[in-house]
Amino acid sequence: MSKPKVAFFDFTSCEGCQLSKLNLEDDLLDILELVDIVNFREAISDRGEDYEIAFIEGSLSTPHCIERIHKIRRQAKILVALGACAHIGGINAIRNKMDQDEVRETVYGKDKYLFPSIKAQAVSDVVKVDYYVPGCPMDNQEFKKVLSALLTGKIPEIPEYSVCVECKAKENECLYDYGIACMGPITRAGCGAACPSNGHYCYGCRGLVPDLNKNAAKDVMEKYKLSMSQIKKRFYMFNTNYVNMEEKEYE
Amino acid sequence: MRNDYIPYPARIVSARDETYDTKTFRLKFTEPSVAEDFNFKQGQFLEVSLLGRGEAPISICSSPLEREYFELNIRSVGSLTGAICRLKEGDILYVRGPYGNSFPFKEVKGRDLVFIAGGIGLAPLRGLIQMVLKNKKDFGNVSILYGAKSPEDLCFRDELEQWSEVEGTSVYQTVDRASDGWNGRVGLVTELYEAAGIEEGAGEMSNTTAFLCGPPVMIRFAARKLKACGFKPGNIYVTLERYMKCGIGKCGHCNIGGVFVCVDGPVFSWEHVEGFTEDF
Amino acid sequence: MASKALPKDKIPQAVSILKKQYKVIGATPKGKNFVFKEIEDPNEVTLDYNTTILPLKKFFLPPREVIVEFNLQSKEYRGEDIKVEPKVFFGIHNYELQAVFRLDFAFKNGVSDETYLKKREKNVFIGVSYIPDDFHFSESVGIPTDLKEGFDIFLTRYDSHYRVEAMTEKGREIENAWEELLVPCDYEGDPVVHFKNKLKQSVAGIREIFHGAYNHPIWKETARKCYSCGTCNLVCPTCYCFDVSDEVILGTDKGVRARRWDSCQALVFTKVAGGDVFREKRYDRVRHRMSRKFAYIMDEKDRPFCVGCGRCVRQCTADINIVDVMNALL
Repeated sequence: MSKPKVAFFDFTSCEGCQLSKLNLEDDLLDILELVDIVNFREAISDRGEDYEIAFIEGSLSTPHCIERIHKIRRQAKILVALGACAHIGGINAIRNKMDQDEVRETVYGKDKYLFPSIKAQAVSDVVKVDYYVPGCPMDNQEFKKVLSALLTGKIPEIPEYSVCVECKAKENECLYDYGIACMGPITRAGCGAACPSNGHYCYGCRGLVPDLNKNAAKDVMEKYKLSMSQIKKRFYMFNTNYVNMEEKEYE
Repeated sequence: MRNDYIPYPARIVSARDETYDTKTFRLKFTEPSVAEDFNFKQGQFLEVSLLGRGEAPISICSSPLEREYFELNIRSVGSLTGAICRLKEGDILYVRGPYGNSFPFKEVKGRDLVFIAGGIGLAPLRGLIQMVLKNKKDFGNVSILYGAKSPEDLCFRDELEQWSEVEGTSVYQTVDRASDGWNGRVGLVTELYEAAGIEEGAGEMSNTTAFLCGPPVMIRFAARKLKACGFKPGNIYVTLERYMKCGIGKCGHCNIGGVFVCVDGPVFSWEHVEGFTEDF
Repeated sequence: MASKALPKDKIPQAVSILKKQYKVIGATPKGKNFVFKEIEDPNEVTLDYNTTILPLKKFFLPPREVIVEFNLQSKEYRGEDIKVEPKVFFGIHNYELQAVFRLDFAFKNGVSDETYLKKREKNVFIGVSYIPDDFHFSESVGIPTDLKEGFDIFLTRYDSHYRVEAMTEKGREIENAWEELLVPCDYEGDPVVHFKNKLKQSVAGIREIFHGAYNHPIWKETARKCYSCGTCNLVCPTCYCFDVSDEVILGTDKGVRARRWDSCQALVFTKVAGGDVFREKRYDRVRHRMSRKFAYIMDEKDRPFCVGCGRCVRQCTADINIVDVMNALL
């Protein structure tokens, strides 16, 4: 059986996820045994257009991005969104809550008309995404799992429960014990509770759990005396496109 | 002590297409001693594995009276069942079990029986139907009411034909959506009741036992209507679906109310279901 | 034989003696909290703690464990060899051991789960008395502080000493091994302790309460506050639900079927092939957890699967108190 051809494409992002793959080191050689990488800007210069699996990094934030992603979708049999920007819009989406014209002016000044931009969107907002490797940056172990599943024809599954599940399993002290508001209870697991295990609160980079209870989230953040603007900052850092803290919603 | 989570290899003797997405596999354990020790009852299920793909609970769809092989009816809905459906004769599946309780058989001798199934819900009832029809003289009239989404979704079509030829046995079929060439009924499975002589106000159906399997919504409607038509809840048996991850009452996934579908079920009398402290 | 006592300052020595024959597991501080772990340095163990983040179940049902290994090349499934070393669990509160007994019941009942039961072999339990904090409510679920059932030795704290009561043959062996550390004991009886956290009604008959409580408003009220994060399940000493999944190791023929602690509070818990979810509403899931603790499963003596350790209350970021929820029903 011939090796599946795999391509990596980057959109609006820091390219950290791609670099992170290069850190797979030993495993990278195993991966190269199993797939043919035909497009990978960070690692090779040869760019093929013939691929079956497309890994997408970055959010879609210009009209050109939209054009490109449609083209990739047409070619790829399987399209996987890698990292928070591709998965949920990520950090780039923070600006979506701001006045877009003001944003352009701040960044480009008087040249703003030369750089058309749109609100930063997740890949799935524009085309069908088959699978995800969430996180900022994406988790290498999870990337390996997803790739391994794809190569064996399995459906790659990512957790649908909260980071607390993984954090408790590691017997970490809860950051709330220290009065630190953490996004863990409402963030999708899969990172092995990386941030809380290293003493930092969860930023929510893996997106929200499928059934977010905003009431609970607000109650708890309020209990820890975070102001509404601080609560918004926690939520909007990665999840701007998915929560609207202006609204009141009840179960 | 044996680790009960280890499955045994079984070879596919034959694989038959039932529908566009459903197949019936005939299997035989590769080790004769395992085959020898394997005894199951009508209505029980197995935990079925495919190397590297995972494991899922699947009910046995053949008759326990058949000692040479057992059969599984599998619909391709996910990554595991999809891969199983691509297997061919000679390939190996891995199974452990049997698990769960069973449908009454001896207990319902001499009675009229009604089987009501939706979609692949016919599979868990099939073994019992085969047993009953093989011993038909011990039973009264048998009605088989079968509904599916479309004519293309009907399973065991040849057998339905054969069953209808057994004396004192009637088969009624219906689909939600007809397609070209379908001259049969269109509508819900409960709309077949009247044809099978199950009617409201016709008095108590004290000599009839009903067996139901299908999607939860269907089971709910079908069982309630049976009650309205004079069936005692204790004479209605249903088999319920849950994702039993362990099959032995440990993992908790199939816990409904106070019962575990994998050990207390999957067969329950409707009387029992009505007493659950939770909707099923 | 007159009773003996172990002076507090001799505890590290007592642990050193145990370590000659056993792996010793005890509570040690972790930041503001405590955890059970294998004791390396006898000075790190403490008998003075409220409770640990995770209960003892992690030693018998680890957060993730391989139940079956498989090989794509040789096409076979094998069990994993479980090595059992003699272990002493040192300084254990009585509700903690009661919880282990509930788990034993769950894993023995019907088909035995050898992967669990194997790890329960060669265990010795040394209990210690404790002062309940604001969250413990063990007395309400039939576990008063002086219950010593199942321990090999029980240590009762008084002043700067622990009275040593050996209750089994193993316990007496250990007491003998400690002989030179022990002093005569002048304390008798058990300290009277009070719980602040209490159920309104004793646990007997609590199961019946659930029959009429299906539509009680407390389920929705609790669900409004609940994240469904699963913390209560994970830290619960008697929650044992698990998920099972297969993993193939990339680039090899080897794979494992592993089980992982699962949470009935997660939406995905009741998902079946084809996507149906049977407990879609958060309040259904809240009710399910409470029902499992107090009504659905009972051990052979009809005792509930809640031992009143208070972990789910202490560790709930949304401040949901199982006792308050129950009291709303009572």
